[in-house]
Amino acid sequence: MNRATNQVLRDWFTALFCCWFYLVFSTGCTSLIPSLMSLDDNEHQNPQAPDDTFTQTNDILNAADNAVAQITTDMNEAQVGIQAWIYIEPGDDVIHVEQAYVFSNLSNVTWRAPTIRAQLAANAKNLRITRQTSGISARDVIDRAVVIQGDVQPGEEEVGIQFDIPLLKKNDITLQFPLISSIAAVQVITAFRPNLQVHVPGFANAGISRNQKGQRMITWQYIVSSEIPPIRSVTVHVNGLLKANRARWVAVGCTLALMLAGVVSAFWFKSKIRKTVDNVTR
Amino acid sequence: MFPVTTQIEIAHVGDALVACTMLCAGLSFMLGMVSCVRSKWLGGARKALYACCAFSIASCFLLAYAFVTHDFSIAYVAQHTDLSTPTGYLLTALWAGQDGSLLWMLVLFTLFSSGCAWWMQRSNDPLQPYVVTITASVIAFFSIVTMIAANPFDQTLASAAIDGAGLNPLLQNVYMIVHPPALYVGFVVCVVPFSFAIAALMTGKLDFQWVRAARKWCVVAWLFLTIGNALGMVWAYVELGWGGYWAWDPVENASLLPWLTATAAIHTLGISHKRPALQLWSVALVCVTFWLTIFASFLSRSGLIASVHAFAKSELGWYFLYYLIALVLTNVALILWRRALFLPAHPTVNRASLMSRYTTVIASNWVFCIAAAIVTVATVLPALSEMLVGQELIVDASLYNRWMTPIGIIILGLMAISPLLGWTKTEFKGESGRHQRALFWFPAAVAITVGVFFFVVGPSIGMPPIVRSDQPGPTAILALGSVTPLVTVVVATFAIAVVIQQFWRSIGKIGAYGSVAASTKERLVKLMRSIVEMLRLPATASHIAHVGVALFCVGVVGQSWDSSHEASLLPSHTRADIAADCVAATSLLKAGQYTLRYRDLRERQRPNKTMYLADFDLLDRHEQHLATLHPGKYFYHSHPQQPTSEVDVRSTLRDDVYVVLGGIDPETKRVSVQVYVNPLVSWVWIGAFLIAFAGVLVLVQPYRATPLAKLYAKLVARLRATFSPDRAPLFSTSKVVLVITASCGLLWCFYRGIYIGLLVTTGITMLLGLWYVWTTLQQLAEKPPVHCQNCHVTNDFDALFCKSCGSDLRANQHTPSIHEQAEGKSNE
Repeated sequence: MNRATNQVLRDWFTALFCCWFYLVFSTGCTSLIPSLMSLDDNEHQNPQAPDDTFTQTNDILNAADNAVAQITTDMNEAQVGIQAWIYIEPGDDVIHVEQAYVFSNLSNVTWRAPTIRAQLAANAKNLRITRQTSGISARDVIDRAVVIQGDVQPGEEEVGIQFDIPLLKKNDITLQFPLISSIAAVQVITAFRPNLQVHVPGFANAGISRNQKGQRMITWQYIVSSEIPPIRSVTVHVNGLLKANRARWVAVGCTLALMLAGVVSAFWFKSKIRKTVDNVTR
Repeated sequence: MFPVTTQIEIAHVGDALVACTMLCAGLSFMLGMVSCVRSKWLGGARKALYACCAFSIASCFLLAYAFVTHDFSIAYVAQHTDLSTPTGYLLTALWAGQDGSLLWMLVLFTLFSSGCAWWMQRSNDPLQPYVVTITASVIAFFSIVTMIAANPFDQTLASAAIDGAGLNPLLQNVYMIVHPPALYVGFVVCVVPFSFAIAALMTGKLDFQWVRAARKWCVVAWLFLTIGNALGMVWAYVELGWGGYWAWDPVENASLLPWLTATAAIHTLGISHKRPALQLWSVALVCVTFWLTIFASFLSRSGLIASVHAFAKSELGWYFLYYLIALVLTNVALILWRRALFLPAHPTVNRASLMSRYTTVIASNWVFCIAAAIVTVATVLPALSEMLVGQELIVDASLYNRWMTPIGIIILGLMAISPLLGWTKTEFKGESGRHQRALFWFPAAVAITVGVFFFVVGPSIGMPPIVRSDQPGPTAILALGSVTPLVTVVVATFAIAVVIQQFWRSIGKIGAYGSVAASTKERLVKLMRSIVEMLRLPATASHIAHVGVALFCVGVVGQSWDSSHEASLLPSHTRADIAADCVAATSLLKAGQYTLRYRDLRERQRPNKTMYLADFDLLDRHEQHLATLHPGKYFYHSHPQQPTSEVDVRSTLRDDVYVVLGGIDPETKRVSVQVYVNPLVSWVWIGAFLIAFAGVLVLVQPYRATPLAKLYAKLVARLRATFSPDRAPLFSTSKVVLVITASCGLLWCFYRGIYIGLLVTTGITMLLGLWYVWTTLQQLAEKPPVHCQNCHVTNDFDALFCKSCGSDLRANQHTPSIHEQAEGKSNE
């Protein structure tokens, strides 16, 4: 299989995964990611019927289930595509991040994945493995990383990792999320409040939606294709975090200055009066 | 880059308003400082304080608006309410959390500081600029902390959710609407007497002027602290479901501490206000009271101590700790600087004998201070031991009870004998001491009689006068502890008898002048007039407060005889399914002389909660139905993991039957129920009510021509007119309505429980009061003014002194009051 074919397949897989995720996540799951993909109330109450793409995917998956799985270490032979999801939601003092890798195997052959080291963002804390399917497993290792290994059965395997990034008292923050290799598509979803500037360089803006909590989310998307180079990390810039705080400190400074001016003026007036009295006395 | 929303939001406006409050406080401080040297700036300082008040109130209204409109982009709103929160509780969420409560305190600070500035405006008080400066500095501190550390207008970094986290179910109680504001008012008003004390220290004018002003405001603070603490006790009683009302919780203690020192301060200021004595005590107690309010804020906001009342752990407490340290250091330095003014104590105090009111007041001051010190140490001991030794010492309620019981009895004893003593000395010997000795006979006789009666009858009514304690400890202390009920009842009776005697003597004095009443009707009229006159006496308020304290102590002693019972019950209507002998065992619970019969478990749906209400029949020992109780278990949709137990209480003057549901099984309707029989709890509430009423009476007594005092004087004049035999018949409409109201209230108290009774009485009395005020004002509009005979200036009909020349206008009145009689006698 030449490079171009491989690329086309990847694009096709990515599109399929997007549809699959859309349908599965809109019905609701337990982790952070599902909630962010759910729709507003009307759509939530009337989920879309499965379309043709979904039926085809199901057929393939059913066929894969019925087949006797062979094992291979060749990713291309197993037709495995990897998609990354990054969900970013700010909390009180930390930024909650959920990072998920979805391995989709569209062949009848099980792909035995090599040990994959997934590096997490710098300053990541409270690391938790939130999801891992039967075939593939993950465990955290030192130096803010997760090791993923196991077999990707025909169908879907996924690993979900949650962690927190401490929110430093800075106006601008830049979050860097390293990715594993051979990623076919990346979707970044942010739930920052509307008056903050959020920017994910290199990513196309996929739009705005609301999650189950009604929070506004912005979705950013990156699909690797023949024209678009592979991606190894995602960078998210957030600007304007401390805008209010700066103004507050200015006000506090003015207040303290006024109070200081009062003390100084009182002493100045007092000394002036004393001098006047002294002069009059003389 | 995604487009950024730049529209102006509530949070931005709120932020700006808090900033304006802060800047105005800074400006007021600056102008106040300058006005200490150049008085022409004082008006500006005052106006800046008013502006500060306006901005803070606007910010508070804005936050309330954000709550009502569910603006969940504001973090505080999202954390403390949700869409299902009822509107009333949306407003209580203002003070439900750390940030909002701080803003609320800031609003109260600005409100009362402005009120104080306005109040002083007409007087030519040289302390004015200092008071304005000090209050402005306190406001500046609070607004800075609100601005940078606990801003309720902080927005969430995440975009707004469609629903919030919801209000803590424990705070969804009617008492939480009034308890925190009352307590905060108490805390906040302490700043005014503190400002006067510091102003007096700074100027060196430690005369009557600061004492007079500080005393008034101290009474206001004390009144609200009393109301706040009492309502907090009621809230703990009906909401927390553990059967008691005071658990010596650290935050409860923190609110008790300023009350203790404020009580001592009121007594000391009462003396300093009449004679130049106890100035150091007055200054120290007023300062300590304010320090303790800051300490209370530190305790509840630092997260240092675990409490159901405390806010979440935060760094906010440290601001208060640093502020407290700075306050203590500067105040102590000021006192040391002015120590020369305190040193020559007034000779009357030096000459005061051991048996005198001076001595009892000083002794009670010491006892109050010791009590405050013990409570403070015990409160911070767990946190302190953990910091110093690394091991947390557990301080439970028994330790507090062991120490505070004797202290309470000593205070009660001092309070009981104090009115019987002379101010500087009490002569007991010889012919001159005969009258003084005679004063002790009646209270002593009543106390001994009640003590003997209690000793004999107590065990048969379930209130034995001597209670054995199971607690380990030295035998002597245990022996003393076991006679606590008997001693308390005897001393409290003595105190009440003293007050009755004092009242009786006052009535006798009033009855002594004028012509002898010929008929019963005229005697009754005279009695009513005497009572109205007596209410104007300054001592009346203290007598009422003392009765309240005595009743409160008797109510507290009731804890010695309380009992609890628990069982798992099935409803009685399932008899058909269960064998007859099992029914009796599973649906009935015997609690002392009462029996509780479980009838049914009902489910009720509300927009914000699911309620399970159990129906119980309360039967007496003869199986007669007394009441139906409906304790519940509420599951709030916002906090499904935190169900609340809603207790139901059948309250009588003798005891409370307090029923609380534990676990429930909606399928089988099995419930586990706990029943507490708490004797004499109603007396705690009655006592607290009387103490608070005394505070109100002190404030409305016409010492000076304040607007409140004027209104009071008008009402008294109206009452006089009503009860005058010449003008009104004995059974006028108002009197009949008054008697019916009181009777209805008492009947409700006895038959339907004390709470409903009090509620009904208060409601009717308030309506009656409003009607009375309205008609009085209408009639007073037609009253002729009083002309001064010296300068011929026209004064209000109720004016005591001429507003122009200051001459006494009371000569125009046809009947002298008891107050005047007493004054006349003392002059003679």
